[in-house]
Amino acid sequence: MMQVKTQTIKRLNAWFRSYNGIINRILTQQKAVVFGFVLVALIIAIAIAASVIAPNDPLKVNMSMRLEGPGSLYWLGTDNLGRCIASRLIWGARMSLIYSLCILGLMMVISIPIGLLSGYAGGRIDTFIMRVIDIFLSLPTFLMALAIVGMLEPGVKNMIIAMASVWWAPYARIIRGMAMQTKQQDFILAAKAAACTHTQIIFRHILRNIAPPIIVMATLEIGSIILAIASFSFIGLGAQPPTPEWGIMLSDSKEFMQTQPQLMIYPGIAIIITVMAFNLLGEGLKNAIQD
Amino acid sequence: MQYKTDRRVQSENVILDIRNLSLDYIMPGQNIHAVVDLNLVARMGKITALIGESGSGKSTVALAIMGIQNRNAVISSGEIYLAGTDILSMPKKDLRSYISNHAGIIFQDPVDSLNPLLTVGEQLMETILMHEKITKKQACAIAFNQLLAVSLPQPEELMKKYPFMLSGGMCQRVTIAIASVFHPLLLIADEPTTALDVTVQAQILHQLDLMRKRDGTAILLITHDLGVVAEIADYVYIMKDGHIVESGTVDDIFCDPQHIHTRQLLAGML
Repeated sequence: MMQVKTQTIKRLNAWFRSYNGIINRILTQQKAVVFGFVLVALIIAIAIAASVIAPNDPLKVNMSMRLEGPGSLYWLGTDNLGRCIASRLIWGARMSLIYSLCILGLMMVISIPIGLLSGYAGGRIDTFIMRVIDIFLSLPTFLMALAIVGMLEPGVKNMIIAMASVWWAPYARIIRGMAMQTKQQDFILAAKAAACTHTQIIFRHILRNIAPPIIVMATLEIGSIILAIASFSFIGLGAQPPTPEWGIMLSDSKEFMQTQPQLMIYPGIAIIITVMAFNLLGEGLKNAIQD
Repeated sequence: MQYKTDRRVQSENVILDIRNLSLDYIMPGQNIHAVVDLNLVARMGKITALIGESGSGKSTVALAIMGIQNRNAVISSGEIYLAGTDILSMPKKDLRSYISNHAGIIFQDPVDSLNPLLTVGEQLMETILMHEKITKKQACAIAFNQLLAVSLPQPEELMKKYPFMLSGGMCQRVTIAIASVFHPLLLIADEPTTALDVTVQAQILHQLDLMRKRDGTAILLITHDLGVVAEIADYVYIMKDGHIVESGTVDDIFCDPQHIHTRQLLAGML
């Protein structure tokens, strides 16, 4: 077990070293990234430990305690159904992260093979795939996703499918570019000369070398995905009530905007902080890799 | 064997025999004749140098011998006999394994020729395991010996290192080790010393020299460094704009150059 661990650390080390001391640069030059990283770590910790941290059951309705102010039992007060806002926010972090990871995963599952195939094969296959990608890029993605969810049926599963199926295209294109670039390098020629199979070259040599930028790209994307999930839920096409989700909380509280604005402010702040944290982290990683 | 073969191998120790090879790069709107009617022979235990300026087509020849030329490079005519078999007449599926069993190649930039994310050991063992159905332990032993054979110290620790931890010269030795895992009859060295400094150059050349003496490997040395050629080569081919303009033993070429281009090259060296 220990050996596996040191192996992993060595590998990570090599990864980072091969990008010219990326860690070093991040730590010394970019305070914002460190801040973003800490926030992201915190949010992930909250999401994982939601069931432990949350003071109350996020779904438990307490009609005698509706629209209460902050107190020791309900840290941030209660909503219009007497549910604990703090607990719902904490569980909301978990929901947002799970949904966005699902979408991201599905997007990568679609875009990585397509991008790799396009970049590595080149020629007619590449031209064909690129034209398909062009079509997807020319569509207004959010509207398309709305249309797909509308056609299927509102719900988390369909929202994930819809968002992944319209958003994979730019990633496939970037991955294709990186694959083409890596393909030109001598070690790919050397691998070919040693009679490596195409699969070996694609996965062992190309994918491994472009994995770090892909990870960065993904980190950068989580912020906007979380925002999109909240939007979908807000208009009722994503997660359905009573799921403790930030978008739903926003939408539930819009009737009380005049009298109880904090009901909208809390989830709003949660969304802003999360999106900002992921963007800071992703942006910093991107700069570090691009230098 | 159903492929076109040639007996000359056994009789004259000819490992590589290129006959009338022509290769064009197909570009939109035009075709570039990169190699025109090229004839070249490399013999067992000898170093054959292919000299030319950048863009003369010498690396294209190397890639064509290995069967890894660019997609837009089309061989329009000729034969490449590698160990007695015309590789151009072979079906694609047999081609790669045949070539990789008989020939190895090393490139100009040793650091770039190794995957930065795999350890030296992993890369060596990958090649070994690809060719032979043996256990990891046996492959490890072969890799170990292979590193010793290219005079790399402490192979055990080296196997766990990543390419960026090694110097250029060590990396080039590792690529030689990988290219020669199965004692290929032919080793193509495509400007193996250009990216290295002079003392390391000498060591690498010594390594190549050792290989041809010890294993009888035929070495095709592609370079534009005439100093290197004068030092270790046996036969020399001078290439210009895709043509072989002059060829002969190293003494012939250096003492009595015939073609004006050869004279220019030699004058440039002095």
